[in-house]
Amino acid sequence: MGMLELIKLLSGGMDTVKSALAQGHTFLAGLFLFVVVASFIYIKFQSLYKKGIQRANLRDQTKAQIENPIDNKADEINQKKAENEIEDILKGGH
Amino acid sequence: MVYRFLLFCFFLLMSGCSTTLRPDLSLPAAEAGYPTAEFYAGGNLFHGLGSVVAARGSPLSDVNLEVQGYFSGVIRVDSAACGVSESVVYSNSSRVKITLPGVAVASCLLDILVSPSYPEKNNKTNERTYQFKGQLAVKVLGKQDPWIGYSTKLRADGDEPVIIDVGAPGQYHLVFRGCSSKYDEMLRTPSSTIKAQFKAVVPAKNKDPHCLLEGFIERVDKWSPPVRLSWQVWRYSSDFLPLPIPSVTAGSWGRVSVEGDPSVSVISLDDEYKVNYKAEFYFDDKAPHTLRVFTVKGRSAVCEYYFDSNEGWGWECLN
Repeated sequence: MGMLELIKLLSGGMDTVKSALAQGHTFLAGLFLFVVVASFIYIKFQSLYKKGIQRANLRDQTKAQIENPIDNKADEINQKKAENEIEDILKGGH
Repeated sequence: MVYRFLLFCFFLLMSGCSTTLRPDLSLPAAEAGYPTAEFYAGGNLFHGLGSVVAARGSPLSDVNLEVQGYFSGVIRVDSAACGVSESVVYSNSSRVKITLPGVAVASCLLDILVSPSYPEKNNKTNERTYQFKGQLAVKVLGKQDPWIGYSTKLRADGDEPVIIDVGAPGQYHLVFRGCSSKYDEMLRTPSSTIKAQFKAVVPAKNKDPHCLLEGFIERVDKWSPPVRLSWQVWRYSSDFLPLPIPSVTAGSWGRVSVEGDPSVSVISLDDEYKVNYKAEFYFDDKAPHTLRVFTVKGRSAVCEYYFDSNEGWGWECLN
């Protein structure tokens, strides 16, 4: 159930609750309110749970970045090699 | 009616009024091989790739490397050849100064990784967010040696001209090494630029998605010292589309309206950050500014508002 559906249900449902109370159906009114509140709490907890997992993933990712250097040794070896070749050509008078 | 109004207010309060991060259906920039980190070196702004020269024996800190962070997060900079392995936790979208240790002895490649954490209140839809990659090539040379640094982000299945500004018509000797290249050509130009094609410079057998060409260009019909060249070539996935440049419209009362691609989540002018794909800012049109837009997949565009003696105040964007 999305937030919008819940809003619709709640706003429409308050008339139902009022009418149920007016007819003395306290249990039905209470049950309806319970379902609505429980749905709301479920949605909130589900969202918090997802955020918690995301936060934990991010924490792991951040920790890995802090601890693990980016390995670009191969690129730097190639850079050095290319640079040496150019210097050799320049020194040799090509 | 009163109940409905109260319920509406209650849900507004519970859900918060902040705007949220927007989905970006593109490939993540870093995974597509398209670097987008925003950093400054030698006084210049770079977007993803940059190069800078350091005089042999001078302090490496003269490179003045600063990396732009977004919101809060971690910036990592590594290079074995320059002896840097640093991670910095930042906050408040600060620009982080990375002091390189020691003196300039050997050229190196500084790999940069920016991992922002977006405000939780703006991520109600739990969008997965990605990093911004970058690379700065530091070229160590003697004080008098002329040098030019270039960089190109090249579509994997594409080709682009290699354009070198030589300043005058004439005959030139152009040589490249690195990226499996053995390019060595005499080229004549009737203009002030020399042109070649990447397909001719970097052979098809080179499968490295990113590599560095080292080379030189010298005039052969009239003596002048050779100019050394460093050229970063990053090939990115042909399925990837760079983020379009945002549109900037001058408004009334010193305001500007900025509108980015619908996939843009954040627009920032200088130190002000807004989570949206369009935003308005107060704007002094006689002062320099930096505008940036980016998506959760690390696609970004950075624009500088600056004064040019020929064209006056204007924008220049990198994406």
